[in-house]
Amino acid sequence: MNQEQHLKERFEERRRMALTSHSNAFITISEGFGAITEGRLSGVIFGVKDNIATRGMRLTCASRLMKDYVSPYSATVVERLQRAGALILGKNNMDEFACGSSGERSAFGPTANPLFPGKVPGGSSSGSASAVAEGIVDASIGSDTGGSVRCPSSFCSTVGLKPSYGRVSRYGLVDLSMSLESPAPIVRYGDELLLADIMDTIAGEDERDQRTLGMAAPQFRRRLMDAAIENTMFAIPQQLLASCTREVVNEFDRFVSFLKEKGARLERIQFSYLHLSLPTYYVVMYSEFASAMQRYDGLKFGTAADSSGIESRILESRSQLGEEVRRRILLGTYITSLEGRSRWYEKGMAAKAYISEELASALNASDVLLMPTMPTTPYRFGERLSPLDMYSTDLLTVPANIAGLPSISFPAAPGIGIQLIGKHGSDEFLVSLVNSIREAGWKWKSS
Amino acid sequence: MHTSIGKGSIVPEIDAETLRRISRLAMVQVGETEKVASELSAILEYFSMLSTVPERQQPVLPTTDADEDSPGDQDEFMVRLIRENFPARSGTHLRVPVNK
Repeated sequence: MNQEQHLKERFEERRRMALTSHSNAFITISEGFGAITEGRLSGVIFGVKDNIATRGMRLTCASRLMKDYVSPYSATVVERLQRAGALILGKNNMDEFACGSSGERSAFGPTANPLFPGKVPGGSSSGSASAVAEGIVDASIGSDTGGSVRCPSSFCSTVGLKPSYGRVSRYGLVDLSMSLESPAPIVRYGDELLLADIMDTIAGEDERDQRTLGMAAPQFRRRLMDAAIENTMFAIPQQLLASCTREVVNEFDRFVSFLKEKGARLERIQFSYLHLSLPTYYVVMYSEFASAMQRYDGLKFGTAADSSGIESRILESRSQLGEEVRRRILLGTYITSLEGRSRWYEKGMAAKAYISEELASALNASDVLLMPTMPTTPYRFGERLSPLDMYSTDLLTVPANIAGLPSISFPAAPGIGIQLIGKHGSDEFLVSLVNSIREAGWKWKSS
Repeated sequence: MHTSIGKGSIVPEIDAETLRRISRLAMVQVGETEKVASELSAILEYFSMLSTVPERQQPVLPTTDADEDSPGDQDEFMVRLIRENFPARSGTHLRVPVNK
């Protein structure tokens, strides 16, 4: 059998898995793939979150409003993956317009967690993590605005990397909050070499996203063996642990003991502003989201309504948006209005600056921040439907987005993740550190 | 209007009239106005700890001029501030022709 036949059979097998899986991890499944390209990622099968443009495929953002939209172009990350030989199996399910942390808020139905039937997979990149965990794809590309790749990685026990802001082009990513987000890869624990190859492929300058200009060229594979546990100073933000369940803290303590045993240096530190991360994140995100969503009016984007008159057509089109999306648009509109701006937006921006400075200062005195990824284990569907219940689970992931820092989540135990946050631009070091932790013998499950 | 949210009776940040106004601006229809206003107010109340943040000199918000592709040299300082504090500019988010 030649290589082309082998790839076709492998792709077809995964396609059958996707079609018969009960996880609902895909919104669109590819019919096949085009010409085979030789490259760093030849034959690696990917899922792509359905808020990332992939030419000729639907781009729904898991919304009724965009259910029939077909993208006429590909995002930079997709272009680069395909050029390196990657095969795109399909578009992954997600919370509508990335507004959610559970994977329950998709117009195409919730995504299942393959490890915990009846419990949420985490979000908003729910299908991306679920498909990797189930083995349908080798890797996936999600997006992380406030933890959207690390949260489902924690709940589905995969590895999710949120790159430093600007390391990966956002061109073609449908924005939730453009100052906070990045396309972000997910792989299985043990596939750090693949993660390095993915980042070497998708990171780097792109003239279509000016925030990438001037960023260092990626060197993930070359630097994969650089980090060593015994040479690393880990700082633990002590006050954040108070928000975690006992089960999460126990697994975190087990990991800390492992690090000590391997010669790591650890210190517990306190912050003055970090407890403000959640409101800071939401205020900034609401504001940017409300602005970004103006174009979904049934005229520029979205399914057109039949009503007569422009205003009623827009209102009718936007009535297809889900409850959480509409809630965020309303709050963002209020926060950026004249009466809400000084009390909310300006305070939020000030807090963003204070938190960023505080994290930078802590990372001057240590190599990485260490904490659990999520304060809870996966919870049952419907258990946290109120907005504040859901938002509260983002507490540990949003600081990295606020400060634009790289962060990686890897499994501590089934459904529980460990998170590392590094200095801006230290993405290679984080991947290398997870690799060294695994090579030192860290296991997240007994078998 | 007063409503009971959280621990005590407070003046809601967003009342029904304010909600009607912002929903018009946002082009989003709201069903039960009182209920939604109360819910949004409860969220903002939860975030009220932001009021403890000290004042800080903020960079000027990005304006249309600053969003031009070729800022002049005299704008270098402001452009740097904006790049450090605000999102990238044109071409970095979804800009595609309407699907045919």
